[in-house]
Amino acid sequence: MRSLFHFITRLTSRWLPQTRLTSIKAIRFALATAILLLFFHILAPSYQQPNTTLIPTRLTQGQTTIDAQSTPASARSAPSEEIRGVWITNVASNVLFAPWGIPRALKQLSDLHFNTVYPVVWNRGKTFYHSPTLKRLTGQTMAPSMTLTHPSEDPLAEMVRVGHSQGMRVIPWFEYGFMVPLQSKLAREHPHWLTNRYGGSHLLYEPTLTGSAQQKQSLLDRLLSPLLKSGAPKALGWLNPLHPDVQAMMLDLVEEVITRYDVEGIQFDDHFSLPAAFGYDPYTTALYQLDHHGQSPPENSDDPEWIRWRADQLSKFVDILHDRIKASCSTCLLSISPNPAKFAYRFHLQDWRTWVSNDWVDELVVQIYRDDIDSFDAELAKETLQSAMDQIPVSIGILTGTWRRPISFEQIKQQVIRSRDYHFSGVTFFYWDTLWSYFTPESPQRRRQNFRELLG
Amino acid sequence: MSFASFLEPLIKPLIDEMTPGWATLSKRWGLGSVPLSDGLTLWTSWTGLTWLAFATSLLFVEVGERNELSLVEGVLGGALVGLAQWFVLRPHLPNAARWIVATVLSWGTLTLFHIGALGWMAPGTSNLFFRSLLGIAYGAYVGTGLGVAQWFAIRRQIPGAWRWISLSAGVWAVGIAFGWLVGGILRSASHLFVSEVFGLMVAWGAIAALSGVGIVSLLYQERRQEHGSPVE
Repeated sequence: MRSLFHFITRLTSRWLPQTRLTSIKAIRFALATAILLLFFHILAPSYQQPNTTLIPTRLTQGQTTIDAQSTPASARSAPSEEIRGVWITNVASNVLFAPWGIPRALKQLSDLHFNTVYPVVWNRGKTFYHSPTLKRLTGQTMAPSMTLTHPSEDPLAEMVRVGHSQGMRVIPWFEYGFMVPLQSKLAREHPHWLTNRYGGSHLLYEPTLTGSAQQKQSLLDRLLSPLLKSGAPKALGWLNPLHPDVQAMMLDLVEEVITRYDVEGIQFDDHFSLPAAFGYDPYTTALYQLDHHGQSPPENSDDPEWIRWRADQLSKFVDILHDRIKASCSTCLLSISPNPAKFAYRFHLQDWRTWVSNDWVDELVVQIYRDDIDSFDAELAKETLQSAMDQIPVSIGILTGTWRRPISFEQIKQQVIRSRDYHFSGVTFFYWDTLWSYFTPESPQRRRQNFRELLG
Repeated sequence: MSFASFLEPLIKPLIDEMTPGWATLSKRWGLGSVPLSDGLTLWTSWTGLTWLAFATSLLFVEVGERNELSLVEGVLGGALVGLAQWFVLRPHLPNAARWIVATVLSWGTLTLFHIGALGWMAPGTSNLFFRSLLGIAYGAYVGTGLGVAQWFAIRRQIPGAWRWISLSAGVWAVGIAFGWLVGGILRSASHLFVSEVFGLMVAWGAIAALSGVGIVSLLYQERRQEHGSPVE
């Protein structure tokens, strides 16, 4: 410490040779103090000694995994305490882009008694780790900016290392699932992997915002949109989850994450699905015709039998995925975070009740994003959730806000308390940047204090 | 190369436009024959660097409400602003380094005292009338505190430096009240705390610009006196 201080004072004396002797001590002292304070205040969390014996081992081209000496993931995969999770995404967030973002976030989360993080690893056709699979398919892997801010280890490796040193479970989250920007290299180079609507459109969202509607956007929306939506894809499509090549890619992505990184499992959300309006691509149509004596799928995408058939096909893939995960890493969890059962089945063809009853998933985090507490309560009370609780850990996904939809801490607190009343395994918050930041209704420090009291 | 000489070519085109008006103003303010380019360069450097120092401080200091800022944050913010202003004052003022020490110490002391690090703080009320009133009162209090410490640092180099105290009090009162008002209006519309950060950016812009006028006035009065012409 003393030598560091002397080094800084010597350095500052070089910068200020023309300063008069009477003031040189004062200014050198002030500068040295400021630099030391900056060092410890901002960067200290990233230099904290880990409390476990995790030793990162370099593999190839920047990929790291955790040495066998580390605490095995299985030891952390089933927390005996309440699950307190948070999703960490790259959208409208700088946590993965700032060099100090990950250590700072995880240190704060650990201090406030969080024990699980779900960091994004797959989004907009890109990975947030060095992926040989994606490199093979598209020639690209992580975004170049990510390589600049994480030159020595990729964000997932850092997340695992720091997360485990803080005693947290790290469950990588394949946020985009089968959703993909139509302009991404993956979609452009493999157009036959995309599914489509009846009539052939690949667009997930048909254009609905007219010129006059755009004019009605608030001033704040117009000011902040370009900033927060920078890099956001203009047109989204959907990879066909029934296509063998798409399934192979997804299995390879999952396998490389669970074998190269010491994670507790992986998670898919509502994007690991097939939107009800889709499934009219040639491959799915041919598959349907095989099962239906040459009959084509109904024009009505909401036809109950058509929904059932597609949901069953997706369920078959979940079974395959589960087997593949267990074969590669017997202790790794397959976690899913869908919408409530009825909605998930009807609109995303995710029959997660079947997945749970067949033991294909190990953890369920149900997104219950409701502002009205009675409606939130009604979802918790549903029989599907209660029966899932008898089989696997079930926690409740709670929305902490988006920049367009700020949510007060009072609402969050109420929902956490209700979830505890129903004896769920815990709560998971969407998302890190709206737990406590400038994009919340209260000041960041007040939010942190509130969470400390709620989770402490 | 000083910051002022870097700015000079950028400001030059403005000078020709403003010279006639400046002659009247400088006569009224008792600045004698100070060239407009010198005054404008100093004002621009002071205003720009002070505001940039505040913006930079936001990387390290988290804006909060009353009593939410730590001593470290107050000192760090004060150090950045003090450093930026010292950089501008350096060619004009012997022993300018004292300015940094005065600024750091006063921000540190103010953070420890009753009100806190006001420059990085949002008021606890959403009522716009009370925000303005509190901004004027607290701004004047902090401005006086800063003014006294900075006067202590420059009192020997600048005759009549005591005027900096009242000027600082006034500038901070106006700037903080205005910034809190802007922050309050935006926050009530967006329900996001980031509005307060924007309000403080406006406040620091006003404070930097107004105090820049004061510093130009003080420094050039002093320079004229060196050449034997009376202040008033």
